[in-house]
Order: sequence, then C-alpha cells, then structure tokens
Amino acid sequence: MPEPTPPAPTLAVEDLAVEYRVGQSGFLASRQTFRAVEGVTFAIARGETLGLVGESGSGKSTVGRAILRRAPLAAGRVLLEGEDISHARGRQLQRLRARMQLVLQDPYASLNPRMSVADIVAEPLIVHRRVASKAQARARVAELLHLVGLPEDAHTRYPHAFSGGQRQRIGIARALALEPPLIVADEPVSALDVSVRAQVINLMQDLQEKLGLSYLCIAHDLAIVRHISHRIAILYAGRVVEIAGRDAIYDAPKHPYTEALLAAVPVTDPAVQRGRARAVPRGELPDLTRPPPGCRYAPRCPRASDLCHARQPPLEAKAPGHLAACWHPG
Amino acid sequence: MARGAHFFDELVRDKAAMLGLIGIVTVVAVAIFAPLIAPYDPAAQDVLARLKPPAWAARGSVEHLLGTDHLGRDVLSRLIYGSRITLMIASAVALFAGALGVTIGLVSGYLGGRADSLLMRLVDIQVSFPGILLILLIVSVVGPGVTTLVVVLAITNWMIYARVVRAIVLQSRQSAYVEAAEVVGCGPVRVIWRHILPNLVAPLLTLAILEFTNIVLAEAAVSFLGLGVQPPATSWGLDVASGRDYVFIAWWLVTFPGLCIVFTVLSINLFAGWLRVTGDPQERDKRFARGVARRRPGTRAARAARAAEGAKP
Repeated sequence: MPEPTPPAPTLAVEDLAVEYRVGQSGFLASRQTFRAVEGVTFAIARGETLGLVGESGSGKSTVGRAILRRAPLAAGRVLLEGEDISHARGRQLQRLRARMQLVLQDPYASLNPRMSVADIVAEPLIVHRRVASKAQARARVAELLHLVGLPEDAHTRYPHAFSGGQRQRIGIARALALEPPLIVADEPVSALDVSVRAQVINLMQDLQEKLGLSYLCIAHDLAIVRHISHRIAILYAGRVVEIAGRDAIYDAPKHPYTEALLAAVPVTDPAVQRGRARAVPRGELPDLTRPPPGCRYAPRCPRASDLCHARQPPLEAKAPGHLAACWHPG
Repeated sequence: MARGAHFFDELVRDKAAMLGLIGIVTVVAVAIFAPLIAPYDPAAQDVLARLKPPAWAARGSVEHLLGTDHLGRDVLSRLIYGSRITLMIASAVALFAGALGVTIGLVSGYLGGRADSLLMRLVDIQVSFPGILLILLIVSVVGPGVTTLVVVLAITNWMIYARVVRAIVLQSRQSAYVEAAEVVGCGPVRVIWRHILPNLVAPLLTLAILEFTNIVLAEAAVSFLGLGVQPPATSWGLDVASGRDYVFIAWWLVTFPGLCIVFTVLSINLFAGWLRVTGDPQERDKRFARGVARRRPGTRAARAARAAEGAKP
C-alpha cells in the first residue's frame, strides 16, 4: 500500500497581497496604488477555526475577500484543499464558490427582503444545480433550517419577520447549503445584540463539530474570538504581526501590538480594572500608500529601536507554533 | 393557480385598487370596442349642429350627449375613438422608452467604469438637446404618422428611466445581499434578475405613470403642431389642443378629453399603488395585518374603521 500523504489543509494562504488603486487616473497624474494587505501567510486545518483580529482598516476583511476571490490578488497564492485557486476565473471560479462560503456581518442587509426564506436558502442549491426538483429543494431547505435551529414554518416567511439572531441563522443556513469545507465569517455577530451573540457562536461551533467545517472568523471583539478560535492571527496595517494558538496569544503575547490589544479588553472586576496599567498606543495606522521602511507598528511602539524603524521584522517562530514579527518580542 | 386566486382575493379587499382596475378595464374595453359603442363617425361633420353644448345644458340635445365641436363632430364619439390612439401611443412610448432606458441604466450601473461614463454622457447630450427640435427634425424627414410619433417620443423620453435605473442599480450593487448572491455563485444574469430588478419595480411604476401623462400631453403638443396624429384621426390630446381656441364659448371641448386623461391616469395610479405594495413583502404583510384588524370586532382599528364609515352618510 502506498504511504498516505498528509491531507492538505482546508485553506492555505501564501504570501498574499492585495493592491487597491486610489484616486482618479488623470491624463497627467499616474494612478496611485496601495497594498491593503501584504505578505499574509497562514493555513487552516480541517475542523479548525482561525480568528483574524485587527483594528478598522487593518485589512482583515480584505484578507477574507481575497480568499473568496472577490478582491484582486496582487501577489501570493490561495490554496483550497490543496488546489491553487488564485487564478480561477469565470465558470471555474463559479464552481469553486460551492466550496467556500461567506457569512456576512449585517444580517439585516445580507438577506434580500423580497425573497422568502426558502428561496434565499435554496438559491445556492439552484445555482449549482444540486437539486432536481422543487420538492427536493424544499426537503433540503427544511433540513437546513432544522440544522440551524429555525422553526419549521420559517420557509414561507420573509426576512423582515425575523429577529437579528434568526436572520443570521438564515445566513448561516444559506452558507451551509452546499456543504462547503470552508466558511469565511466576516464579523458574524458584531451586528447582533449581546444577548444573542453567544447563541449564534455556539451554533457555529456545533455545526463545526457536526460537519467538520473550517472557519476563518474575522472579528474585532477579542472575547468572541477567544471563545470560538483554535488559533488567532493578529493583523496590523495589512501584515500579520503574530499568529499562535489561542491560549498562547492570550497568555503570552509576543508582539507589543497584541499586548496593547489585550490591555484594551476591560476586566470584569472594577478594582482590578482600575489598577491595571493602560498601554494605549499613540498615533494611527501608517499611510499605506507610502508604507514606512521598517516595522509598521514602530511609530506607535513603546519598544521601538532604530532597527525597528529601519528594517521590517520577519514573521518567525518565537516559541513552538507561535510566530511573531518583532525585533524585540516580549 | 392558487397563487393567482390569492392575489385576486387581496385585490378585492382593496377597494381603491379594485376601482383602479375597473377603470383601466373600462378604458381599454372602450378603445377596443369603439366602433360598436360610438354613436357617430368621429370625423363626420355637421355644420348645422356645430358647437352644441352637452345634453343637460340649455340648447343641448340628446342627439349629442357631450355636445359637438366647431365642425359639428360628436364629442362623445371622438372621445371613444380618441382613446384608441391615445392609449396606444402612450403605452407604446412608455414601453419603448422604458425598455431602452432600463436597459441602458442597467448596463451603465452594473458595468460601471468606462461604459458608465460613456452612456451617461450620451444621456446628458440627449437631455440638453431640445426635444421638440429633434421631433421636428425627424418628423419632417420621415413624415408624420403614429409610428413615427411613437419612435420620436420614445427617443426623447428614455433618459429619465436610464438615470433612475442607474441610480438604483448602483445603490443595490453595494448592498450586502447582492454580495451574498455573488458569493453563493449567482451569475450576473441571475443577480440582475433576482436581486436588482425587483428593487426597480416600485420606482419604475411611479415614473411610468408620471410619464404616461407627460406623453399624452407631448403627443397633444406635437399633434397640435400638425406633426403628430393627422386628422381625421383623433386623440384626446389633439382634442384638448384644438378645443383650446373655444375654451370661453365651448368649455366642453377641452373639459371632456381632459377628464378622460385624468380618469385614465387616476385608474392606473390606484392600481399601481396596490401593485407596488404587493411587490414588497413587508408592506404586504402590513396591509394584511391592517385588514385582519379591521375585520376583527373590538380592536381599535375596527372601531376607527366603523367610525369612519358612520361619518359618511
């Protein structure tokens, strides 16, 4: 018997870069470009959740869109179950859509108000010709609605009849319809009431266990990311600054930006909270049309040295399975 | 089939919409069966009986229910026959101008970029070019006639559709549910058909109805200049235009064709309002809920409805 090769990760991203054009292209002025995301590398195993964390404008949504091939790749490769999809186009890309799905942030905007729940959930099945008849589609939709915990009679109703949490369940049912190995969840609960966030997150975890899904969970809420993720990648100004297992990130952060992020999460005990040192980073994200030559966090970093301003630190292992891009790791 | 019956049920409940539908059906039926209904040939002149007032006025006679015009032609017969050309031209123009405008607006809004700027400059040029001049130009080359009139009016009236459609397409392209549909794997045709076009129904209905009146009047203006509907054929617009000279001595010449236009547009409007609500699931649920509340005794809505009915004699 041949030696079985180790299974390819559900998703592998290698040296990903996304470039956007800014401003008008005139007759005289040449078009300016900036790299929203650069040198992003990570992998997600089957059944694993990678949390992607960063502040607004750090490029975390862009990474998600680039993986789904909705943002233009300037460099790098995206491999879905070992297959290079970076150059898929047209029909091929459309077929690929069946294998990676998106759960959007705002469940009030992401469901077409003029379509019934059954039509919304059945749409992927119809587009990818997975159902032969209406009866078959109905059966599959009923199954999916049951899976995400919606009432039996939901299918004839329209999105406006549902609460935010229920709508997000509809969105999840739609994403699950084709049984994709990968789901990109772009801030899946940040538009929901705090009281229903846990329900949706728990549902996502249950489904992961049941169906062996892999998630790329984009978020800015560290508490939720900690709850759902197996590993976490921290993004700053379009670059991954640290990537490690969940507990390693929370308990022993290596990068000063990660430290600052964690310090910003309030502690539930007021006495402890008052006593904590607040490491609020000064300044803002660097201008990515003219990125600084060194570490992108250097202008805000309390540990920055001349080396930091001069040379970009590589993302390398500081501990087993714990990568950070910092000249002076903590 | 059950779906159709369901819609009809809803329509019967909505009195205004039902009236609108009856109005539309009446006008269309009159146009179709004009030769059977009209008491006279609309072009037959009777100089001895010119400028007769309607039957109920002094000097009026039952021979001419709505009176006669300056050439002694029966106003009622002219209205009945006029409905044919008026409806035909107005709906044909609304259809052609709408189709052209919607197509260009869709392409422009969906593709964006260079195609968008090119098409929108085309719209700008067409808008800034005086419509009546273009009409005069084309008609004097091709020669007057109903077909020419439809084409010419369509060419000078499509721009507003293009602009409205483009704006809505741009807006709905940005919406999260269009992104969701694209991620699911819908092709452009399905995205446009299932996710973008339904948003256009309500504004386009409103616009087409506003334009309908405009077209009726534009047709009247062109006909008045002698470039549109050619006598002995007639249209409501032409009747209004030619009755203008007699407005102080024969008020019925402008009043009745004018009322016909109002009646038609109002009917379409009432029905379109219902159609718009029916196309929007949320509005439809609200209407349904109001209906249920009204029929259930003891609720505030039912009391309000009863009070409103009681107030009327």
